[in-house]
Amino acid sequence: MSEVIVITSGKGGVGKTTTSANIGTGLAILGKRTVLIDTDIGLRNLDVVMGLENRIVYNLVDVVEGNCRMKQALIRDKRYPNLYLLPSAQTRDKSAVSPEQMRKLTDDLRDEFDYILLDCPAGIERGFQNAIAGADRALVVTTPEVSAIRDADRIIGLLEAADMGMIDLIVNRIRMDMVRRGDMMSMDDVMDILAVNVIGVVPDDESIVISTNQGEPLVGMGSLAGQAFLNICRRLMGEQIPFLSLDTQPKFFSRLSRILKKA
Amino acid sequence: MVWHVFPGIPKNHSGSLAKKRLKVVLVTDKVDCSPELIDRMKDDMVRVISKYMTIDREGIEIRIVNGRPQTALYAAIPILDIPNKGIC
Repeated sequence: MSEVIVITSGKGGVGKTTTSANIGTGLAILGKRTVLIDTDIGLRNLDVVMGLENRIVYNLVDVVEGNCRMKQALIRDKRYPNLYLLPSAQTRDKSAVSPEQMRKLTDDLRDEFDYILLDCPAGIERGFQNAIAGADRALVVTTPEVSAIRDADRIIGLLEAADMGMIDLIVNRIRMDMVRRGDMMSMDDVMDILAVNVIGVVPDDESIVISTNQGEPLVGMGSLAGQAFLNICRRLMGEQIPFLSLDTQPKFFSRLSRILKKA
Repeated sequence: MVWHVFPGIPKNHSGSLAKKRLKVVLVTDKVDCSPELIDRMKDDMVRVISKYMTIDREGIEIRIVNGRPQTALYAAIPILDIPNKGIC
Protein backbone atom coordinates (compact mmCIF):
# COMPACT_ATOMS: atom_id res chain seq x y z
CA MET A 1 0.00 0.00 0.00
CA SER A 2 1.41 3.36 -0.93
CA GLU A 3 1.01 6.65 0.86
CA VAL A 4 1.24 10.18 -0.52
CA ILE A 5 2.51 12.61 2.13
CA VAL A 6 2.79 16.39 1.74
CA ILE A 7 5.31 18.31 3.84
CA THR A 8 4.05 21.84 4.35
CA SER A 9 4.27 24.79 6.75
CA GLY A 10 2.78 28.03 5.48
CA LYS A 11 5.76 30.08 6.56
CA GLY A 12 8.98 29.83 4.60
CA GLY A 13 12.34 29.01 6.14
CA VAL A 14 11.16 26.66 8.88
CA GLY A 15 12.84 23.61 7.33
CA LYS A 16 10.33 22.00 4.95
CA THR A 17 12.90 21.06 2.35
CA THR A 18 15.44 19.78 4.88
CA THR A 19 12.68 17.77 6.55
CA SER A 20 11.53 16.37 3.19
CA ALA A 21 15.07 15.36 2.24
CA ASN A 22 15.73 13.66 5.56
CA ILE A 23 12.41 11.86 5.86
CA GLY A 24 12.61 10.69 2.26
CA THR A 25 16.15 9.41 2.75
CA GLY A 26 15.21 7.84 6.09
CA LEU A 27 12.29 5.91 4.61
CA ALA A 28 14.59 4.66 1.84
CA ILE A 29 17.18 3.56 4.42
CA LEU A 30 14.41 1.66 6.19
CA GLY A 31 13.79 -0.27 2.99
CA LYS A 32 10.81 1.63 1.57
CA ARG A 33 10.67 2.56 -2.09
CA THR A 34 10.43 6.33 -1.85
CA VAL A 35 10.09 9.21 -4.28
CA LEU A 36 10.59 12.84 -3.31
CA ILE A 37 8.77 15.42 -5.41
CA ASP A 38 9.80 19.07 -5.34
CA THR A 39 6.57 20.99 -5.97
CA ASP A 40 8.10 24.45 -5.58
CA ILE A 41 7.96 25.41 -9.26
CA GLY A 42 10.22 28.39 -9.94
CA LEU A 43 12.16 28.08 -6.67
CA ARG A 44 13.50 24.55 -6.66
CA ASN A 45 15.81 23.56 -3.82
CA LEU A 46 15.24 19.96 -2.88
CA ASP A 47 17.75 18.97 -5.58
CA VAL A 48 20.61 20.90 -3.94
CA VAL A 49 19.71 19.77 -0.42
CA MET A 50 19.81 16.18 -1.71
CA GLY A 51 23.05 16.82 -3.63
CA LEU A 52 21.45 15.75 -6.92
CA GLU A 53 21.46 19.11 -8.73
CA ASN A 54 23.92 17.97 -11.40
CA ARG A 55 21.77 15.08 -12.53
CA ILE A 56 18.62 16.92 -13.58
CA VAL A 57 17.54 16.37 -17.18
CA TYR A 58 13.74 16.60 -17.07
CA ASN A 59 11.48 17.99 -14.36
CA LEU A 60 7.96 17.86 -12.94
CA VAL A 61 6.53 20.28 -15.51
CA ASP A 62 8.05 18.21 -18.34
CA VAL A 63 6.24 15.14 -17.01
CA VAL A 64 2.93 16.97 -16.64
CA GLU A 65 3.18 18.49 -20.11
CA GLY A 66 4.14 15.16 -21.66
CA ASN A 67 7.61 16.26 -22.82
CA CYS A 68 9.07 13.11 -21.30
CA ARG A 69 8.03 9.91 -19.57
CA MET A 70 7.98 9.72 -15.79
CA LYS A 71 10.91 7.28 -15.79
CA GLN A 72 13.08 9.77 -17.68
CA ALA A 73 12.50 12.53 -15.14
CA LEU A 74 13.04 10.49 -11.99
CA ILE A 75 16.59 10.76 -10.65
CA ARG A 76 17.76 7.67 -8.81
CA ASP A 77 19.88 8.47 -5.77
CA LYS A 78 22.96 6.26 -6.16
CA ARG A 79 23.63 6.32 -2.42
CA TYR A 80 20.24 4.78 -1.58
CA PRO A 81 18.82 2.25 -4.05
CA ASN A 82 15.21 2.86 -2.94
CA LEU A 83 15.29 6.63 -3.31
CA TYR A 84 14.21 8.79 -6.26
CA LEU A 85 13.78 12.52 -6.81
CA LEU A 86 11.42 14.27 -9.19
CA PRO A 87 12.88 17.77 -9.40
CA SER A 88 10.88 20.93 -9.95
CA ALA A 89 11.18 23.31 -12.89
CA GLN A 90 13.20 26.43 -12.25
CA THR A 91 12.16 28.56 -15.23
CA ARG A 92 8.39 28.23 -14.88
CA ASP A 93 5.87 29.31 -12.27
CA LYS A 94 3.20 27.72 -10.10
CA SER A 95 0.48 28.11 -12.73
CA ALA A 96 2.28 25.65 -15.03
CA VAL A 97 0.58 22.81 -13.13
CA SER A 98 -2.98 22.36 -11.87
CA PRO A 99 -4.16 20.49 -8.75
CA GLU A 100 -5.86 17.89 -10.99
CA GLN A 101 -2.60 17.26 -12.85
CA MET A 102 -0.77 16.87 -9.54
CA ARG A 103 -3.34 14.35 -8.33
CA LYS A 104 -2.88 12.31 -11.50
CA LEU A 105 0.90 12.51 -11.19
CA THR A 106 0.94 11.22 -7.60
CA ASP A 107 -1.62 8.52 -8.42
CA ASP A 108 0.56 7.33 -11.31
CA LEU A 109 3.45 6.87 -8.87
CA ARG A 110 1.49 4.75 -6.38
CA ASP A 111 2.15 1.48 -8.21
CA GLU A 112 5.91 1.97 -8.12
CA PHE A 113 6.47 3.43 -4.66
CA ASP A 114 5.65 2.86 -1.00
CA TYR A 115 6.00 6.53 -0.12
CA ILE A 116 5.48 9.57 -2.32
CA LEU A 117 6.65 12.69 -0.49
CA LEU A 118 5.73 16.16 -1.71
CA ASP A 119 7.88 19.11 -0.65
CA CYS A 120 5.38 22.00 -0.62
CA PRO A 121 6.26 25.63 -1.35
CA ALA A 122 5.69 28.31 1.29
CA GLY A 123 2.41 30.21 1.13
CA ILE A 124 -1.23 29.23 0.76
CA GLU A 125 -1.73 29.95 -2.92
CA ARG A 126 -1.59 27.81 -6.05
CA GLY A 127 1.63 26.01 -5.16
CA PHE A 128 0.14 24.88 -1.85
CA GLN A 129 -3.10 23.81 -3.51
CA ASN A 130 -1.10 21.81 -6.08
CA ALA A 131 0.99 20.09 -3.43
CA ILE A 132 -1.89 18.98 -1.21
CA ALA A 133 -4.20 17.89 -4.06
CA GLY A 134 -3.10 14.27 -4.25
CA ALA A 135 -1.95 13.78 -0.65
CA ASP A 136 -3.39 11.26 1.82
CA ARG A 137 -1.57 12.74 4.74
CA ALA A 138 0.16 15.98 5.76
CA LEU A 139 3.18 16.77 7.89
CA VAL A 140 3.13 20.38 9.07
CA VAL A 141 6.58 21.71 9.93
CA THR A 142 6.86 24.55 12.41
CA THR A 143 9.46 26.10 14.69
CA PRO A 144 8.71 27.25 18.26
CA GLU A 145 8.19 30.86 17.19
CA VAL A 146 5.01 32.95 17.09
CA SER A 147 5.13 33.65 13.35
CA ALA A 148 5.70 30.02 12.35
CA ILE A 149 3.02 28.70 14.71
CA ARG A 150 0.49 31.26 13.55
CA ASP A 151 1.06 30.18 9.95
CA ALA A 152 0.95 26.50 10.94
CA ASP A 153 -2.44 27.10 12.52
CA ARG A 154 -3.70 28.66 9.31
CA ILE A 155 -2.32 25.77 7.25
CA ILE A 156 -3.92 23.18 9.54
CA GLY A 157 -7.26 24.96 9.10
CA LEU A 158 -6.87 24.85 5.31
CA LEU A 159 -5.86 21.17 5.38
CA GLU A 160 -8.90 20.33 7.50
CA ALA A 161 -11.13 22.27 5.11
CA ALA A 162 -9.62 20.22 2.27
CA ASP A 163 -10.46 16.97 4.13
CA MET A 164 -6.85 15.91 4.59
CA GLY A 165 -6.91 12.41 6.05
CA MET A 166 -4.18 12.77 8.67
CA ILE A 167 -2.38 15.86 9.90
CA ASP A 168 0.73 15.61 12.08
CA LEU A 169 3.07 18.27 13.35
CA ILE A 170 6.87 18.39 13.35
CA VAL A 171 8.40 20.90 15.74
CA ASN A 172 11.72 21.82 14.19
CA ARG A 173 14.74 23.66 15.58
CA ILE A 174 13.88 23.36 19.22
CA ARG A 175 16.57 24.49 21.64
CA MET A 176 16.27 22.71 24.94
CA ASP A 177 18.60 25.13 26.72
CA MET A 178 16.20 27.96 25.84
CA VAL A 179 13.11 25.90 26.71
CA ARG A 180 14.64 25.10 30.10
CA ARG A 181 15.18 28.73 30.97
CA GLY A 182 11.68 29.65 29.76
CA ASP A 183 12.73 31.59 26.68
CA MET A 184 11.33 29.19 24.09
CA MET A 185 7.98 27.45 23.81
CA SER A 186 8.20 23.72 24.52
CA MET A 187 6.71 20.88 22.50
CA ASP A 188 3.82 20.80 25.00
CA ASP A 189 3.19 24.53 24.53
CA VAL A 190 3.06 24.10 20.75
CA MET A 191 0.79 21.07 21.05
CA ASP A 192 -1.48 22.96 23.43
CA ILE A 193 -1.86 25.86 21.00
CA LEU A 194 -2.26 23.92 17.76
CA ALA A 195 -4.20 20.91 19.09
CA VAL A 196 -2.77 18.41 16.60
CA ASN A 197 -0.68 15.29 17.05
CA VAL A 198 3.09 15.86 17.20
CA ILE A 199 4.94 13.19 15.23
CA GLY A 200 8.43 14.49 15.92
CA VAL A 201 10.61 17.09 17.56
CA VAL A 202 13.89 17.98 15.88
CA PRO A 203 16.55 19.83 17.85
CA ASP A 204 18.35 22.85 16.44
CA ASP A 205 21.58 21.21 15.37
CA GLU A 206 24.51 22.75 13.53
CA SER A 207 25.14 19.44 11.81
CA ILE A 208 22.05 20.24 9.67
CA VAL A 209 23.87 23.23 8.18
CA ILE A 210 26.91 21.09 7.47
CA SER A 211 24.81 18.35 5.89
CA THR A 212 23.02 20.86 3.66
CA ASN A 213 26.37 22.35 2.64
CA GLN A 214 27.47 18.89 1.59
CA GLY A 215 24.22 17.89 -0.07
CA GLU A 216 23.97 14.80 2.12
CA PRO A 217 20.93 14.26 4.34
CA LEU A 218 22.01 13.37 7.89
CA VAL A 219 19.10 11.13 8.83
CA GLY A 220 20.22 8.14 10.83
CA MET A 221 23.71 9.53 11.46
CA GLY A 222 25.09 10.17 14.92
CA SER A 223 23.67 13.65 15.46
CA LEU A 224 20.53 14.26 17.52
CA ALA A 225 18.74 15.77 14.51
CA GLY A 226 19.63 12.69 12.45
CA GLN A 227 18.14 10.41 15.11
CA ALA A 228 15.05 12.60 15.42
CA PHE A 229 14.40 12.36 11.66
CA LEU A 230 14.84 8.59 11.64
CA ASN A 231 12.38 8.32 14.54
CA ILE A 232 9.84 10.34 12.53
CA CYS A 233 10.26 7.88 9.64
CA ARG A 234 9.60 4.93 11.95
CA ARG A 235 6.51 6.63 13.39
CA LEU A 236 5.27 7.26 9.83
CA MET A 237 5.61 3.53 9.26
CA GLY A 238 3.39 2.93 12.26
CA GLU A 239 5.97 2.07 14.93
CA GLN A 240 5.61 3.39 18.46
CA ILE A 241 8.85 5.23 19.18
CA PRO A 242 9.27 7.36 22.31
CA PHE A 243 10.43 10.95 21.85
CA LEU A 244 14.16 11.57 22.07
CA SER A 245 15.40 12.93 25.32
CA LEU A 246 16.81 16.24 24.13
CA ASP A 247 18.09 17.09 27.55
CA THR A 248 21.67 16.27 26.68
CA GLN A 249 23.81 19.30 25.93
CA PRO A 250 23.52 19.50 22.13
CA LYS A 251 26.87 21.21 21.63
CA PHE A 252 28.70 18.67 23.70
CA PHE A 253 26.92 15.84 21.91
CA SER A 254 27.72 17.01 18.41
CA ARG A 255 31.31 17.76 19.35
CA LEU A 256 31.67 14.28 20.82
CA SER A 257 30.18 12.58 17.78
CA ARG A 258 32.48 14.57 15.50
CA ILE A 259 35.51 13.50 17.53
CA LEU A 260 34.35 9.90 17.36
CA LYS A 261 33.87 10.15 13.61
CA LYS A 262 37.42 11.44 13.14
CA ALA A 263 38.88 8.71 15.32
CA MET B 1 23.57 32.55 33.89
CA VAL B 2 22.76 34.73 36.91
CA TRP B 3 19.49 32.82 37.27
CA HIS B 4 21.33 29.55 37.96
CA VAL B 5 23.22 31.15 40.81
CA PHE B 6 20.27 33.11 42.24
CA PRO B 7 17.17 31.08 41.41
CA GLY B 8 15.04 33.40 43.54
CA ILE B 9 15.32 36.32 41.11
CA PRO B 10 12.23 36.50 38.86
CA LYS B 11 12.99 35.76 35.21
CA ASN B 12 11.55 37.21 32.06
CA HIS B 13 9.79 34.21 30.61
CA SER B 14 9.56 35.23 26.98
CA GLY B 15 8.36 31.71 26.13
CA SER B 16 5.15 32.05 28.12
CA LEU B 17 4.65 35.56 26.77
CA ALA B 18 4.89 34.14 23.24
CA LYS B 19 2.28 31.51 24.11
CA LYS B 20 -0.11 34.10 25.53
CA ARG B 21 0.28 36.39 22.51
CA LEU B 22 -0.25 33.48 20.13
CA LYS B 23 -3.46 32.38 21.82
CA VAL B 24 -4.93 35.85 21.39
CA VAL B 25 -3.73 36.29 17.83
CA LEU B 26 -5.04 32.89 16.67
CA VAL B 27 -8.51 33.71 17.94
CA THR B 28 -8.65 37.16 16.38
CA ASP B 29 -7.21 35.77 13.10
CA LYS B 30 -10.08 33.34 12.84
CA VAL B 31 -13.00 35.21 14.24
CA ASP B 32 -12.15 38.75 13.30
CA CYS B 33 -14.37 39.84 16.15
CA SER B 34 -13.86 43.29 17.70
CA PRO B 35 -14.58 44.10 21.36
CA GLU B 36 -17.40 46.38 20.18
CA LEU B 37 -19.03 43.50 18.37
CA ILE B 38 -18.75 41.34 21.49
CA ASP B 39 -20.43 44.13 23.47
CA ARG B 40 -23.29 44.39 21.00
CA MET B 41 -23.73 40.65 21.09
CA LYS B 42 -23.76 40.79 24.88
CA ASP B 43 -26.52 43.43 24.83
CA ASP B 44 -28.63 41.30 22.52
CA MET B 45 -28.13 38.22 24.65
CA VAL B 46 -29.08 40.14 27.80
CA ARG B 47 -32.24 41.40 26.11
CA VAL B 48 -33.36 37.92 25.07
CA ILE B 49 -32.43 36.08 28.25
CA SER B 50 -33.86 38.79 30.54
CA LYS B 51 -37.32 37.89 29.23
CA TYR B 52 -37.03 34.58 31.03
CA MET B 53 -34.70 35.12 33.98
CA THR B 54 -32.94 37.78 35.98
CA ILE B 55 -29.26 37.80 35.12
CA ASP B 56 -26.19 39.65 36.34
CA ARG B 57 -25.19 41.70 33.34
CA GLU B 58 -21.86 42.79 34.81
CA GLY B 59 -20.90 39.21 35.59
CA ILE B 60 -21.27 37.94 32.03
CA GLU B 61 -18.15 36.44 30.61
CA ILE B 62 -17.85 35.88 26.88
CA ARG B 63 -14.90 34.06 25.38
CA ILE B 64 -14.04 32.82 21.94
CA VAL B 65 -11.94 29.70 22.27
CA ASN B 66 -9.64 28.46 19.56
CA GLY B 67 -10.18 24.76 19.02
CA ARG B 68 -10.30 21.93 16.54
CA PRO B 69 -12.29 21.23 14.55
CA GLN B 70 -14.34 24.26 15.58
CA THR B 71 -13.70 27.58 17.23
CA ALA B 72 -16.38 28.01 19.90
CA LEU B 73 -18.14 30.85 21.66
CA TYR B 74 -18.47 30.38 25.40
CA ALA B 75 -20.80 32.57 27.42
CA ALA B 76 -21.06 32.28 31.21
CA ILE B 77 -24.13 34.19 32.36
CA PRO B 78 -24.75 34.34 36.13
CA ILE B 79 -28.45 33.83 36.96
CA LEU B 80 -29.75 35.90 39.87
CA ASP B 81 -33.32 34.67 39.83
CA ILE B 82 -35.73 32.65 37.76
CA PRO B 83 -39.11 34.31 38.33
CA ASN B 84 -41.39 31.83 36.55
CA LYS B 85 -39.86 28.55 37.59
CA GLY B 86 -42.88 26.66 36.30
CA ILE B 87 -42.26 27.80 32.73
CA CYS B 88 -38.58 26.93 32.67
